[in-house]
Amino acid sequence: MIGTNISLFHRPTSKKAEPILRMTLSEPISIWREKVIARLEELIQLESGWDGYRGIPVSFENAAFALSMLEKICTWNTEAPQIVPGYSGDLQVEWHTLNGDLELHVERANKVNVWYWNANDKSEGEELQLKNDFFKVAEWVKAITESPLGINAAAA
Amino acid sequence: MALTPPPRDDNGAVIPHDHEGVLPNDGIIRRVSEQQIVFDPKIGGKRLSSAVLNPSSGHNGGLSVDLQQQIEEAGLDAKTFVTTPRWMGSIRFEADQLRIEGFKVGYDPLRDNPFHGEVWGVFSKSKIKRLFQLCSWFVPINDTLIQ
Repeated sequence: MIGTNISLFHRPTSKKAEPILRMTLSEPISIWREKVIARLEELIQLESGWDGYRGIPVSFENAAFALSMLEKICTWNTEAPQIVPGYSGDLQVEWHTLNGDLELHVERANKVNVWYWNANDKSEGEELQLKNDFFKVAEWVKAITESPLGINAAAA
Repeated sequence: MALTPPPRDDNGAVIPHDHEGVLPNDGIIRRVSEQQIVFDPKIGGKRLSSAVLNPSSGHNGGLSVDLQQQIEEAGLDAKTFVTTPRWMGSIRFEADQLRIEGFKVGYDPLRDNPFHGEVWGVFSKSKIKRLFQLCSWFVPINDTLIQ
């Protein structure tokens, strides 16, 4: 989805103003962003003890970092991830698709434990500790959220 | 039999330990919030997120649990206890299942939960998946698989 803005400007001249129609293309609107923000807002408002023990709500700092991280690793049409709270103000961003699983555990800002499992892979998956370089994760997001070959072939 | 007090550090925090009073077949219950359920198209439905078994990150942080044997020895019904005051699902291990996987199962009584315990160890993703295979529902959440 590309947002389109049509603006009507008038030249500030003494002559009779002639309307000029301009069409500008704005930044694409991310289809995942609204869902993610709504979920993060829900998680930072959890009540203490939400887990039946001593769990605290997701911290504002971790929520803000997660949103910033997603802006780096997602494209405008990436499928929205699922987000679940941790017990210490942390959170986990997850994609589960027919292609595999990707889980990003934001323990705190710049401390993210990543686990990726590809459905074609016989292993138990790959686990990484990341700070702020999410290039590899962006590749995994793309791999896990693109349509499986089988589904495309069946739909064709 | 009441458990002996757990070891504590100078700040009064319980030190990770394996409590000898928690017997091999004792039930170790972990409550599960619906906040930690995800949809997975590979199973065509809902299941628990691995976040359920992520430990707390605080000092000496482990995974909070309820000790079933201690609840029942106090004359209480364990299913009622872990669903009060708020209804939640829960999964159940036996202590030895956790110990065999390298975890410590300890006692950490709280003011509002004298049957509170902790599980300490390395909760890697592969280990969490293994733990999901070992446990079973204690109080099931409708239409949700453990894994």
